[in-house]
Amino acid sequence: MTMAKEERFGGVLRFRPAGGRRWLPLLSRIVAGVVGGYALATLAIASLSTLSFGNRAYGIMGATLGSFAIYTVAILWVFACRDAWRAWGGLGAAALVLALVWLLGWTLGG
Amino acid sequence: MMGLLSFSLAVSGLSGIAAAMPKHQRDLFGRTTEPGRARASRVAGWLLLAGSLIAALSFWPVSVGLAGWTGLVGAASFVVALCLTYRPRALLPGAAVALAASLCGWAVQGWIS
Amino acid sequence: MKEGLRQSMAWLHSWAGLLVGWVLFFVFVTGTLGYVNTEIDHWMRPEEPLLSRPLPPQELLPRAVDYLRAKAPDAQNWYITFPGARGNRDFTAAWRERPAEGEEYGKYTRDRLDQATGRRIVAEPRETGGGSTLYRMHYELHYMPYDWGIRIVGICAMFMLVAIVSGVITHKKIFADFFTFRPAKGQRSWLDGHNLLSVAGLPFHLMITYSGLVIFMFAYMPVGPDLIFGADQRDRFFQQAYGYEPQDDKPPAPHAVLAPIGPMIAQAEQMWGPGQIDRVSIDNPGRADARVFVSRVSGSTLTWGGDLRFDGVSGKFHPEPEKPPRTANVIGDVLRSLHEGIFAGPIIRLLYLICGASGAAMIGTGLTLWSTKRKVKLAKSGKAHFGIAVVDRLNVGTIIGLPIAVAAYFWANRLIPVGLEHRADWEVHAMFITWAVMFIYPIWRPLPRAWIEMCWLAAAAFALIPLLNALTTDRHLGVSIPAGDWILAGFDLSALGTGLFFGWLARKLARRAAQPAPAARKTRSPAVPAPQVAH
Repeated sequence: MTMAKEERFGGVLRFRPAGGRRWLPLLSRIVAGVVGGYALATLAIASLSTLSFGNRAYGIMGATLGSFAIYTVAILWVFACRDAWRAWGGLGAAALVLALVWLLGWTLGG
Repeated sequence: MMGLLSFSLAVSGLSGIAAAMPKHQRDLFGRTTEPGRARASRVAGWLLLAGSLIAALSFWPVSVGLAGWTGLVGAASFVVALCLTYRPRALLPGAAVALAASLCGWAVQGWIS
Repeated sequence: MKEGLRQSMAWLHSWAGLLVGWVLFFVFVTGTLGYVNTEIDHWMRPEEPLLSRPLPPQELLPRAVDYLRAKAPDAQNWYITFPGARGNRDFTAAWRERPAEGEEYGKYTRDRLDQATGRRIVAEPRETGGGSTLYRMHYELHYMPYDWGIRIVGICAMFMLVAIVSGVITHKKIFADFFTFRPAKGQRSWLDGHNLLSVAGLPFHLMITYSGLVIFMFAYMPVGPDLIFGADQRDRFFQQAYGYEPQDDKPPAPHAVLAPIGPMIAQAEQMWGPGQIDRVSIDNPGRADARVFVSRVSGSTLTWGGDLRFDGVSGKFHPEPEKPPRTANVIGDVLRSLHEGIFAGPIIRLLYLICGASGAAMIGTGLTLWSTKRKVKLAKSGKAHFGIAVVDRLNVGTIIGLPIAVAAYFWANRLIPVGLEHRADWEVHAMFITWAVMFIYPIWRPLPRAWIEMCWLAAAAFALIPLLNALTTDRHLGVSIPAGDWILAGFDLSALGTGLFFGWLARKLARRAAQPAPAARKTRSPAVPAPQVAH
């Protein structure tokens, strides 16, 4: 009994582009998780550290402590969601929110 | 001595919680028990577990004790699981004896000092 | 949707675990050994004197001060450590000289002193990396630059964090199966064992992984200090984050007599109770701005024990201004302290060792499970798979091979001639050469035989260590036990115990191999339960 292609890789291959190249979504997710997740964690540090008004260094301390949790959640999200497009979309949405927080923090913190 | 008391309380507590699960009742007693008894066992188990935490916190400073107790409970879980697998009939008597022995030891230690 | 989530997390868990499992096994084994690094150091330096009962600080202090006054009267800092506290087996006097022109730090020297006489101990032990090399390997690996090593380990730690969380998400019956272990059922038993080890130690594994990342967090996530603050502004970054004043380079103050430190220790003992003094540090001894810090043994809290500050000339006690510690810094300190476990007393130390070993076993069972699961699937289609054969060899070579390599490290310590140049390096080479051979051996042997034979080799390698010790040194059990040096004796006894464990494992595997394979017994007849195997 061979599993259907969708069932292999834990359903991660559910989205398949037309014309073959079934490994593309998986590769896309891996890049999104490893590289995109790291970028998101980095953005989170830059952004969330502005919330400690006045003492940026202290904010960096706290944000860096939490960055590994953010990275982990990003990777889990990327592999849990239904297709590779949503994976990138989710990361993009999170990045947007963080950018807004950065703007807010930078404006308020001075 | 407090460490041993905390550990045997944890083992007893976890045994009580395990005894409330039907799948382990079959190992322990050869049959499933009534839900009332199971619930009582579970409550007693959690109380003993709480006692284990109190013993740990009275022996160690709070922050150290919380960390130590977490490790203690993990080790106790492992012991209870292995006992349920290889010597299920010995679990409850064994836990009771260990608990009695550590309580005696604690009392004697308190009486001496 | 729940099923889809469990499925994808199962996929993520097994691939994340597999890709770095062998490196993580190495990290856990060397890390657990590194936890007792000073003890291992002591065994690997048999020329050192046997450990004796520590004398009280009041008695040792004047000897240390006299020694430092004679050796380094004009040093910038003096440091005195008292034996007995964890990590301090020795009575030492150390000093840091004033920095030379253009240098940031002065030279640091540390001498071990004899407790009774206060004179320097000159026994030159054999050159060895000791347990401290094992400890360092667990975060910087070996044979590569430090920066590469810590980052590779960091990447593996991130994989592990992902594996832990995805494992919890995918574990369907984490509460119902909390105590479940069904042996002798092939793949099911490996899964049960893996689950049991993982869940029982879950708080520890989560803590040790995250805190490991936190220890090197600015190497892994440099954006904060480097990009936002400036790459050459690290000092200023830490000053602002921790809120302390910068150390400026002042010229030395005029000479002044150092106040007697005995009363300061007495006051510390009054405040903390006996046996709580870890070390004494003196800034600018013999100068007008001298300060004396008496440090407490850690173990009273999860963070460092706390210092008492005294003026070095008047002897007056200066309570530190009460600055409430900031949350983020405390969290970082607590995590670091939990990872290193220096605060731990004997019971918690034992728990740390057990948890570390359980972590290695968790990884080992996971690696074995990965291969077993796929072999069961492939058995149905009758194919063998090259990738699984590779994984199998890597598994046995790591799970049994690495312990053999560690034993080889200890054998090398006793067997390599004392005068040989770079003998410390050769001890480590011996370990890695052995490990390499342990990967090659299972290529030529049928896999079940390889497991059994390597287990027997591990059993012999460890169980014979006390005998090796007796034949090559005079620090064997016959000497260490009567003298009460329980660190030496404990090492030999632990080696014996480890050997017995591998012997038991070898016998168990041999007995299992003598029975028909579980797949053949797994016929789908519900009326006949699978026979329970007696052990």
